[in-house]
Amino acid sequence: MRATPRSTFAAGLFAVAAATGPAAAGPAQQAILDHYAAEAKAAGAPSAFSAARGEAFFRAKHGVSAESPSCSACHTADPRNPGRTRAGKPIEPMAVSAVPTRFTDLAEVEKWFRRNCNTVLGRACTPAEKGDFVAFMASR
Amino acid sequence: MKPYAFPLVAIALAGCAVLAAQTTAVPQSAGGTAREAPASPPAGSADPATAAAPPVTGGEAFAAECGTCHLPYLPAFLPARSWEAITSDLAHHFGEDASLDAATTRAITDYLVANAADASRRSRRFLRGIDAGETPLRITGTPWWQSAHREVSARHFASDKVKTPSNCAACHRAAVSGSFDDDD
Ligand code: HEC
Ligand code: HEC
Ligand code: HEC
Repeated sequence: MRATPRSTFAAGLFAVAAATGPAAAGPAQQAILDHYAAEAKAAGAPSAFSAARGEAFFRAKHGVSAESPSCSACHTADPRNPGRTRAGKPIEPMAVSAVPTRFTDLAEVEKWFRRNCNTVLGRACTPAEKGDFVAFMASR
Repeated sequence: MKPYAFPLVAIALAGCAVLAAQTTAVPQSAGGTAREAPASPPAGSADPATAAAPPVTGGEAFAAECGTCHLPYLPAFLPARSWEAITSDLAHHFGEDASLDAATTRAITDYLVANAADASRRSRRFLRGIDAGETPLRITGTPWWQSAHREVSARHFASDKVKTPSNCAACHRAAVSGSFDDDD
């Protein structure tokens, strides 16, 4: 029998954890990662996520928005630090080690992926991009 | 005499009177202990579309959803048509996607329209200098706001602490927002 998305993901995260340090993902983040792994798998994309790919995606300048060129423009270069919106309001750190309630409510996570991917990339993020992003934040 | 060249003190008093009058009608921000919010959306409550929405008032949804990127601005600072224009295109909101589901957008719009500058005699002064055919999208673009901030230097607005004139909270605390804490 084939591996379930959950065990596929767990294997991926362990590989990630070994490379980047202890992972902080709790059951709630795990459930979100499982959700994206299942979506990625259904779309025929790799469902083992990579924190390293997530980090590259987080830092990349996507060349769509002059005010918001990258995710790190608001969430700062080190996601363990607080970020800031364009209107100057502080944003709690994105790293799960700094804010354990990050990535625990799927509706909230999906709302912000929808908005911020559209603002920064001018399109929706793929399930794999979302999974890599969460894996990166869970590794920090 | 120019229509909005009246003394700054008058504007300050006007602004503050409206702010004081609004405090009791404004909900707590998200996660705060819920206070009774008498200014819930009047038009929406009878509508089947909003009946299916989660059990939050328009004011609560406004404080939570319009308060993540900046403080929730006081509805009395813009006319109803401005709020309608802003909430009708949240996917293109000052260069960002701030979109929401249809039911939440509707509840927030109803709340903003019910508490807009033209909804009460007390707040009508914020409309001064705005043409009937004009729909300002920025509070900071309205004549009363520019008049009230005439003495504030551009350097202040651009400083790292403030960043932008839209960051009212950097200079005013919660008093110009639609969300108040008990101890403010
Ligand atoms: C213009 C500023 C800005 C940019 C650019 C930005 N974000 Fe955000 N992001 C926010 C704000 C504001 C929040 C909500 C506040 C909060 O959750 O503390 C948020 C929240 C999130 C959340 C929700 C986290 C959770 O715990 O539920 C995710 C996911 C997210 N952002 C992903 C991204 C991604 C991916 C990018 C780049 C494609 C990005 N953001 C770029 C401002 C931004
Ligand atoms: C750089 C700092 C700064 C920013 C940012 C700023 N203001 Fe002000 N504001 C002032 C100063 C200074 C005054 C002069 C009146 C006074 O002495 O309080 C003023 C006056 C006012 C008044 C007159 C009534 C009162 O309370 O005194 C209102 C209303 C007001 N501002 C609303 C706003 C709103 C709404 C925003 C955001 C859209 C904003 N301000 C942004 C500094 C600022
Ligand atoms: C995803 C982030 C985000 C969310 C959510 C958001 N806004 Fe904004 N809003 C912005 C940005 C960015 C600006 C422009 C700030 C600047 O120019 O410095 C802005 C500006 C505004 C202004 C003009 C302020 C001025 O300069 O006078 C109004 C009014 C406004 N927003 C209303 C709303 C309402 C109503 C909601 C809820 C339906 C909302 N916003 C939700 C990001 C957001």
